[in-house]
Amino acid sequence: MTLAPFERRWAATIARALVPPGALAGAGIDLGQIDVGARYAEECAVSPWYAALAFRASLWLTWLAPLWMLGRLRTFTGVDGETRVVILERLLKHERYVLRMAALFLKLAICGMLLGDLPTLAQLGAYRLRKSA
Amino acid sequence: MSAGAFVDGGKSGLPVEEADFVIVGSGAGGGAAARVLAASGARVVVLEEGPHMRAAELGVSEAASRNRLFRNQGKQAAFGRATTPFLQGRCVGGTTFVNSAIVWRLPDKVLDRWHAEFGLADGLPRAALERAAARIEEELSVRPVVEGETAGTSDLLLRDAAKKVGIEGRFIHRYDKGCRGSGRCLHGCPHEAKQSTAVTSLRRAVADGGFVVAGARVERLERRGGRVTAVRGFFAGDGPERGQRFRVAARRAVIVAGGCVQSSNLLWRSGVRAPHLGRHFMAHPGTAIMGLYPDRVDAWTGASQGYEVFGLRDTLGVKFETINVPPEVTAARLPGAGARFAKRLEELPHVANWAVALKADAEGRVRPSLLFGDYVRYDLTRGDLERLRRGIRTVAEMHFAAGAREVITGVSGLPETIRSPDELPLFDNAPLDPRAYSLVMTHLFGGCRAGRDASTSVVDPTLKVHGVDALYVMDASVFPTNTGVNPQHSIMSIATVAAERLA
Repeated sequence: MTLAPFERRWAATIARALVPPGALAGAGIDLGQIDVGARYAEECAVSPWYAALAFRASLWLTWLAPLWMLGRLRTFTGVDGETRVVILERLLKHERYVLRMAALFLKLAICGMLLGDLPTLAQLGAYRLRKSA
Repeated sequence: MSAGAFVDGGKSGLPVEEADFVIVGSGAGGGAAARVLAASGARVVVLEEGPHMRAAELGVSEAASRNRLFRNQGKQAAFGRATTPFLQGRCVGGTTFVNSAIVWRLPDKVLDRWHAEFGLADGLPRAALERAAARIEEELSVRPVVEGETAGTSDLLLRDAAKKVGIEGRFIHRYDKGCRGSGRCLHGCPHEAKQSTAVTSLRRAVADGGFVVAGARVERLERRGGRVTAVRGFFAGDGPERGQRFRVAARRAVIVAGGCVQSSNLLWRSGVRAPHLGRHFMAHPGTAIMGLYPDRVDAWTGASQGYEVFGLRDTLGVKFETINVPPEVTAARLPGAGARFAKRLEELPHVANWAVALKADAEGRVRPSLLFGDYVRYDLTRGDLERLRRGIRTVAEMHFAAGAREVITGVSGLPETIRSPDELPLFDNAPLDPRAYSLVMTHLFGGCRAGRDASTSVVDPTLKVHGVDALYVMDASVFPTNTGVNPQHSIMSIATVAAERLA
């Protein structure tokens, strides 16, 4: 399944709201340089159709959350940074199982894309990998 | 006998079109059977759907490993009230290549029940199983995780906690030769120290003239009269042969060892219609409970799983294990978003993940599906959920006993975290609803269960399919009950005994 360019941009925007680019800077990690949009598209492309559909659905659900969750005629980019975080927090704790799982699926994917790099894992001290200077 | 080989079917096709034994699947069951049969002088061909990965080709990220080494890129699930992911290796070595290599012999009580209720005493006698288990332990270099060598801080914390709360535990016994504690068992061992079938029994089978063909997916079994005579499939691996169809004839027998879901579905696609085929699917669903410690835990060093607590296995039906969940997956389970989540991420090195594995009473069902390929229906019982809840509470209690300053509950409907043992009673009111928990299933059983009675089982006590000649199943799908322990050793033992009878 191929993601449209605008969906890639959505993924990158949601990722920045979920994990601010300066996170883990203290550990010498630069998360801002990672192209989440491209990686999200790549993950969709290699996944079975139903998983790719879940990736895409979780993106759309979050993107349209201001509309269906807050009743505002806005998309995710149309609300301020603080509201984006509120939306993500509410989705992750949502009482409806399917919505909670969609948000967790999104978070799992984004964390994998941001933290699964060799240099990042090394800086975290994982797997006895050698840290960069 | 001429030399055998590991072959990439997508690149070079089949090395032979006929063999004495054709084995479908290269994991614990297929590997053990191949080793025995090839050593007896028979010509053996093992067909594995996934790739043959060498140590140098393995990656470090969870996503890369999942996409290359696991079935359906690690994205398959059982459906019921909750959607529960389950993991199966899909590569040469099968799940033995991507598990933590934990060794447990089949418990006596379980075997007693298999003998008494399912009539398996003739086919799987205790003495033969013990002899097989002992030989496998020697060949696969079984030894416990060692403090100061392969044990990580998380393992030592769980050991201390178990002592404080008075529940029996031990350092985990593993198939290990030269482990360096790099913590990457779940990605495939980068040093070939983990003794998966890819580096042990399959290599022995190849040395004895056998062939292991990677990238070869078996679609159906060919039957002539009441006998299986060949397998048919196509090459799934990359290369010029990709998509090409193949047929391998079996002179003596076909052994199906594709794992719990795939074995029963292959039989179904091949026209086997035993009344209990695909039924009695069982598992050890589990969840990891995170403790946050004042000092660094650095959970991703040491053996991926190094300490286990089994004192409640026979009473509550739960077992606790340390597990080095990859950092990126652990991160996703930390609460929050935005700045709050960013602050949480800084605590990653302070997290210890301890898993609760449940010997569930629930039984599900497996069927081929046009939409999903394989469809699994599975729902925990109320009793399972009650025991799971008590297990989670006990692990949380143990985290505090080991000095955790905070425990992340991971249960929807409860506070995200608790900071004191005084809050443990909250778990007593956790929802008895599987949707409240983040469960994953790893150990799968059933679907082709063994038994003397053909009306209630799929294979007989020798693991031959009832009513079909020259067709055997040798994996955990034949287990008639849930074992309550990590199954690799039991699978290898029963496959060894069954294959010795055929040799």
